[in-house]
Amino acid sequence: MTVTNFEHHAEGRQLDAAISAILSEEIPVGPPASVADNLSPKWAQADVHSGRYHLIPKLNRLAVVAAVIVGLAVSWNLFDQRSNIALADISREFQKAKSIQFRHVMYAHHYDDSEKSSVWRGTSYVDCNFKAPGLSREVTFDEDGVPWQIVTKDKTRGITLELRLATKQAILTENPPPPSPSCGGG
Amino acid sequence: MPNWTTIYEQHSAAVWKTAWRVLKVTHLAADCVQETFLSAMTLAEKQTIREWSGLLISLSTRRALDQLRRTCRARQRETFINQQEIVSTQKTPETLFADGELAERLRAALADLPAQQAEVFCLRTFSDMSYHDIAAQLNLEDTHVGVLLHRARNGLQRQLSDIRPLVPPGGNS
Repeated sequence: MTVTNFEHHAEGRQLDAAISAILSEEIPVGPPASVADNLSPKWAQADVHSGRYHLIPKLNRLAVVAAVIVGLAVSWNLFDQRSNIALADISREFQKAKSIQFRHVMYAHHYDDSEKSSVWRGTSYVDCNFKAPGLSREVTFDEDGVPWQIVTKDKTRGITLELRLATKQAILTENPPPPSPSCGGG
Repeated sequence: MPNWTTIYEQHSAAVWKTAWRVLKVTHLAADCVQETFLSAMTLAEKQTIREWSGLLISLSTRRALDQLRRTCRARQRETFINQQEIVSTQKTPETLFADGELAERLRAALADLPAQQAEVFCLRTFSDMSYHDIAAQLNLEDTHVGVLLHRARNGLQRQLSDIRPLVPPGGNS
């Protein structure tokens, strides 16, 4: 489609007129008092828990350090007494699990010009759930903790259901696994 | 620990203005203000906030656009001319109606734009934020903000292109 220069400017004028129309609208005084009334109990709650918010990360760090020390001590003893233990043994134990859940957090490195420093910030996270044989469900959350994608898979039947919450789309993919070599004509 | 009462007193009017410009429905704008401050509380638990004004306006714009998309999709938006506006302004009813229609068409077009483009457009046009401030809030490069704004304007112009300008009273039809 060809748009002439005149038409292009006319479209621009319509947009500018629409912007002016919105900007010239009279805005009532607000927000209503009910908003502050609804929020004030949350603020009070935040004040009460603020001490705990600072304490929990410290306790978490201490717990991780303690777990690492205990783990090192135990593994040192294990390897010292039973030198025949191997990574394969650990892997075998791990594979016995019927289901596993974990959270995968993605961090982005941000550089702050005003502070001349850089920090790692969590940008999104995925809650992963796997269950034998071949079932999985992954929920992806944005930085505000709002879920925006849910992927459910059944690998044994080759079915994937992908729900995109932001765009309200559901995509079902069927891709059956190839027959096992033992069944083939070979 | 931020003092939420003070933050609310300082910034709630700007947040309200931002939400109302996008939604123009009082109860929806009020919900948007509430959601904005709740999101800000969640964010403040995770990180230190240095610039409250930009953050709250950015959050408010995002929430308001989300709400606008929902209402436009459900076709629940009702357009009406405020009686007080007719009395208090010098505009003729025809101009007032045309302005109201244009504004609503722009809101509907905003709901159809890609989220990031709509957000950049609102922050720049309605909240008068600089490219640099928008870039800082959305974690973008300054130049990318310019590109998104240009695309947003083009998209909105295309959507508004079928509106014919109102013929002034006494003009040739």
